[in-house]
Amino acid sequence: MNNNNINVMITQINQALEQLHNPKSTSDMRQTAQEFLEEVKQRAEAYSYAIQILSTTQNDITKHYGLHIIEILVKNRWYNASDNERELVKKEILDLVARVPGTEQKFIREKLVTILVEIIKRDWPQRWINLLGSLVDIAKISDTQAELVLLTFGQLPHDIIFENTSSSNLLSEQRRKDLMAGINVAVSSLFEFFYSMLETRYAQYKQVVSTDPTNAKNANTSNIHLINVLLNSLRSYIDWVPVKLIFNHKLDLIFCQLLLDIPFRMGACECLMLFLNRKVKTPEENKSDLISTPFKSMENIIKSILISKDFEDDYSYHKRLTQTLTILGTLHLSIYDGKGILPNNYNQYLDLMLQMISHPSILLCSLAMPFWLAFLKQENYDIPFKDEIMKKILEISLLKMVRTGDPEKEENPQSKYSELDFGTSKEWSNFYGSIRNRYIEFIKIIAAHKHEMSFFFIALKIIEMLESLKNNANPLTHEQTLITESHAYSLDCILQAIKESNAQFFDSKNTISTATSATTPFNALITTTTEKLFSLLIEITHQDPNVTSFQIDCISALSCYYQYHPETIQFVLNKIIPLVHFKPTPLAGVDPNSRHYQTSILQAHRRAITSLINLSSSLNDVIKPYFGTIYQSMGQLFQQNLLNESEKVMIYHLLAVFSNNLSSYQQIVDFLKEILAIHITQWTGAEITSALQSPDSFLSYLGLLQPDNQDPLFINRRKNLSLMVSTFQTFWKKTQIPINSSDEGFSPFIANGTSYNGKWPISNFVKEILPNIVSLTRTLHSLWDPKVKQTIHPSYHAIYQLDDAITAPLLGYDYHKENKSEAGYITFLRNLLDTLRDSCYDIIGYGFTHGDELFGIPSLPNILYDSVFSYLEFCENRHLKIIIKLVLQPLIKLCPNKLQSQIFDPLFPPFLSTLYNRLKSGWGIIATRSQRHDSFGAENEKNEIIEDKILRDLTFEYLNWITLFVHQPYIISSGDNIIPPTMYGLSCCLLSIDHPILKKTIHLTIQFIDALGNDQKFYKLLGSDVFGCCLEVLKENKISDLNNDLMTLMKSIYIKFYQLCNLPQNILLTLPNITPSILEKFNRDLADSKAEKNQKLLFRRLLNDVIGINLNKTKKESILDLPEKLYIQKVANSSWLESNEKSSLADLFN
Amino acid sequence: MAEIPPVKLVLVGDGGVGKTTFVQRHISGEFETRYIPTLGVSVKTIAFYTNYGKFIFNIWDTAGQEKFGGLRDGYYIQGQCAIIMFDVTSRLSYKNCPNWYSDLTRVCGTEIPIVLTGNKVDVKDRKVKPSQINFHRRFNLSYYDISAKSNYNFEKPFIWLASKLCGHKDLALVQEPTLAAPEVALDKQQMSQYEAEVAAASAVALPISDETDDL
Repeated sequence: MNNNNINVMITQINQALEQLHNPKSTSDMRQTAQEFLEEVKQRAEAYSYAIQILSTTQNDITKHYGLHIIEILVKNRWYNASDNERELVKKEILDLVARVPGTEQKFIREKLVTILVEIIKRDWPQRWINLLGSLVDIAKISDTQAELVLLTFGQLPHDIIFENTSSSNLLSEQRRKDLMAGINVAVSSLFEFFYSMLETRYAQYKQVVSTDPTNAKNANTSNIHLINVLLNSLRSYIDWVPVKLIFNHKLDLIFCQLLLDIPFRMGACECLMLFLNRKVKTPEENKSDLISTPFKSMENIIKSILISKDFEDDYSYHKRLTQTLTILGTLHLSIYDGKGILPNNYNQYLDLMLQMISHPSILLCSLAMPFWLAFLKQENYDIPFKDEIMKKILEISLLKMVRTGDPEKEENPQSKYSELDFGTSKEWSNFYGSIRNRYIEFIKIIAAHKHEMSFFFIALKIIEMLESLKNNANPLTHEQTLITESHAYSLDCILQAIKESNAQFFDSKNTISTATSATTPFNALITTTTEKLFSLLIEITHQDPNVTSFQIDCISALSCYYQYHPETIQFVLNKIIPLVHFKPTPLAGVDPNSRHYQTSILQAHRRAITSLINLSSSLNDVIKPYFGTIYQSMGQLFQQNLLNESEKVMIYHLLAVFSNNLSSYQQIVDFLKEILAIHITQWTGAEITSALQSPDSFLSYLGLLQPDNQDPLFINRRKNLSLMVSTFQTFWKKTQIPINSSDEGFSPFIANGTSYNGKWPISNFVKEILPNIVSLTRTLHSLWDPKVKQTIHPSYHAIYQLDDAITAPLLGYDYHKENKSEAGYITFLRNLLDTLRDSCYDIIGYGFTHGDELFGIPSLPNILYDSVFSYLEFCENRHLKIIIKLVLQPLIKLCPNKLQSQIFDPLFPPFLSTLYNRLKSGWGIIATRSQRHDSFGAENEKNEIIEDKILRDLTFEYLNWITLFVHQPYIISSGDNIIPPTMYGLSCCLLSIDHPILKKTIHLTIQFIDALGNDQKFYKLLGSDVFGCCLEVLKENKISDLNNDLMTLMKSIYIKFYQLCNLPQNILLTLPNITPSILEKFNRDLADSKAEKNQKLLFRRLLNDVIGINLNKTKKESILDLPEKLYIQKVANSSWLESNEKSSLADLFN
Repeated sequence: MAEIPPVKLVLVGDGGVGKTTFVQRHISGEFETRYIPTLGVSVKTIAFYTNYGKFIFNIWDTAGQEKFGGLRDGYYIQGQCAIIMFDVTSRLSYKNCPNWYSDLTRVCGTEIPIVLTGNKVDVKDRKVKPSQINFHRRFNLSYYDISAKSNYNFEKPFIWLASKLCGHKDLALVQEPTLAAPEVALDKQQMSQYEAEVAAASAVALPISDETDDL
């Protein structure tokens, strides 16, 4: 090809590249340009164009294209070239590297390096013995060449040593071994090269710094750059080369010293980090040698922190240094293990690490945490200053538990760092939350080891805080509130941790040493400090609800103190009980009507009730004498109507705890009767009974037949109904069976073949509560009947739709209550229906755990049929899911064997059929939709998303439920009543296009096949229907990575049935390529292969061939797999400088 | 408000991670269930309306597979910002991110803003857990979980890049981008958990080098 033609071609290439990169080009223009450029690359004379481009053009894009051509040729056609051609290319590339000017663009220079490395990967060391010598020669030419050589050395190990790079996948095992051997031999001389360059350049750098300090940076640009490139290249070697290479050149010391030079501190720090975390650790490598120099250089390290450049740069360095120091410390701890010798300056190191976890940057703190966690967990550690350190960590943790540093909402030292690390408040907040948990973990670990120290620490802090609050009537600021919360929470954590390891901590009689504090008997100071703390908590009456909440939290946390000082409980109750209805006098500057203020008051009320519940549960013996007082006080609050509905239900929880502490069965029953009387009277009264009987009466009772009915009468009815059902639910779930009751009403008994310890007191009320629960459940189900829906006034139709609080998360949106536009009463009604439904299911389902009371009702199947199983056709999928979870799962687990046929036989088949139809149509719709390429509008698609998600949840719940079937002998042997619809439901799950569902279904189906045995009844069901379904799924190949699992399932079915019937064979014969003779041979082979592995293989082979799904990962043979040892060295023996003569390369690859 | 010239955005990542699908979500097209490898590069223009004016991104959607590579890093030249995408259901695609990063910065320099995105978070059995994603912190990139299928966080990478390019941290969209309707529902709870885990991942000390990231 003559030069003119090449020049024309280069002009065309230039035009195409310009067209490709021009932002104004159209897609078609770019496409044409791309096609042309791709086509040029494939031409025989492409190499000639590349060489011409590289020797003539100044355009970077064109130059890059020229190099790209060579890269592609090396990557794709290297082994097609003759030895001579390859030698010429190598020479040309080295020549280009040697000639490249310093002004050349970085990406051009680095492209050259990439090409060079690609050739090295193919030819070195056998075919390019003189490579290293040539590169070292080139490095001497200029700084630019030195940089390129360093980059080449730096890139080399990535594709050889570290196997996870994409390009390394192209290397054959043999090639990799050859390269590995080559680099292992070369590494010694490479380190000589690195060291010598580092020494020379650093000396030059220092000289400039000392002679011309003002202009040091400019004058030293080249030295700084090269040293940094060198440190970067060293990173590719530090963690795997023999450690003696590093020690021989004192590189560990050099890294520590370079930390003092701002330009090199980051690179040196990264090298040091790699050094301390070396991957390749030979047996002779002593870990303590690794940490020796860094510990000795601690002064340097500390000095390096004090050197300041600019905020961001310093901060980046500090983060990296923290990581390095964390690795240093944890490595030391792993060696030390309580036996070794501590470095002399270990306290200096610890001080530094303390500064790291108290740093204003939460991210930097987090980087130091792994060390401190290891330090605190190191039980064998016995160092004189450990207590002091722990106290400091407690102090830091307490401070850090105060949520501060929001990058968007705050202006403080913490937020300044957050701004650099986190994009948004939310991102920061999530992160902060996780780190706060770490600090809490620190507190707990310390408290578990150092009881007294931790207790005094937090108690004195809180005493100090309370004393200051005592004399200050001002409202707390937001930050002060956060501080009080963190103190109260820390007190709770510390006392919990102490209680877990030393329950007698507050026992003043415990003068004998405990297991955990072997030499310290009870410390009298504990009592005096606790008394002081306690008296302040009781004494102070502050008008800020946040202070009150703080006091309640602290009082609640001291429960283990009250255990040993029962006389205090009276003061506790005197303090807390009135706070259940705390009405503060608004302080100056506080808006009493603000939402924030009102919420704070409500929170104080709830904290007071929760505190009473917790104290009553944990200190039942101590608090028992006061149950009467508490009960009376709560009763007054009810009588005076001072509580809202939520508070009432919480107080019922408290009373349920009281009832659990009564000594006899009869006492509990009487107590419950007393409390529930008012609700039961109302619940069983004519008004409610009639209201719940039918949908019409229910709608009318709640006022849903008139438009937008907000009459107080109806609003009160709605609230009252909700309260009643929630109350029953609370007692139903929170009351327990008495433990030591000896009265007549309570004794072990046997019912329906099952033995029980005694009757549940709450079950006494089944007869009163259950009938209307059944009616309510039925009525709620019937409300979804389209005919009933029509009777509800249209202004309420929105109550049938899902709440935004549910749909927004399903659609991936954030939900904000304040953005809600619908009327509050609509939301209330919708929630009311959902809550009533859930409570009804829960009461029935939980009833199954209450001994035999429900199972003792002869008409239980009818009752269930009439309630939970009524109007199933109108139940939405989300409702079916809750039925399974709350009712059917406990039913199947707890139903006495004797009753299983009476209950399961009539109820399960219709329910399973309903589920089967839902799953079939649901997944069918999804499958059809996935084939569709049109859209039906955004609103429709939103609904589809929600429906799909709910269907998925229902499917999972269904699978969870039927998993229990496998372990129920009655169901497995139940004949054709329950199993067929179950298996059909499973088949629908097999057809779902959802990986986890399919995986679970396959696993479960195999379990069913094993459990069902060889029952002839199921031949068709399993051998034909389920088998056929599996084949369909396999043919569709929608979730290909589960094909193996599917094959295993099919194999299980086939092996089980192929000798018993022809059904699975008939299914296989429907496949186009399977003939009876193929199948006969297959069956013979199968019969001969006893081992499961061989059977699997046969099966897989048969299906692979006919379905065309290749399940075997075949490795493609390539020329790269040929062993390099076959190569006989021919021409690669002269050095680069000697052979650096221009040769004609134009015909290469032609 | 002064018009901002179009910005060249380079989109890179392994083949099949969903780059093209992601770009196409902005147009009114369907979610493409089939995988059609991109040949070389395909350039799409997407406009975002922000409180600092209209940002036009010329997105260079590059081929992820070497065999369809075209000019490979030749497309990165003059790139002003980039998105590196991996597939959270493919560990390998995450493992390769450092390679994409070094390829990008070799041509475009280390100064350009780059976002790392983990696609396909709608898939329930994700393989690359948020706690394992820490590559971005090493190089001060931003990271977002995304789902091209459900549009989850679609706009986030672009907003971050735009705010970095114009230097305004408070840059925000004034108009929602026109996206095709989502194809799948996301479990918000799971997403929140992922987000928390992504943040929590930062609490763990970085592995020493990307090559050692324990996937």
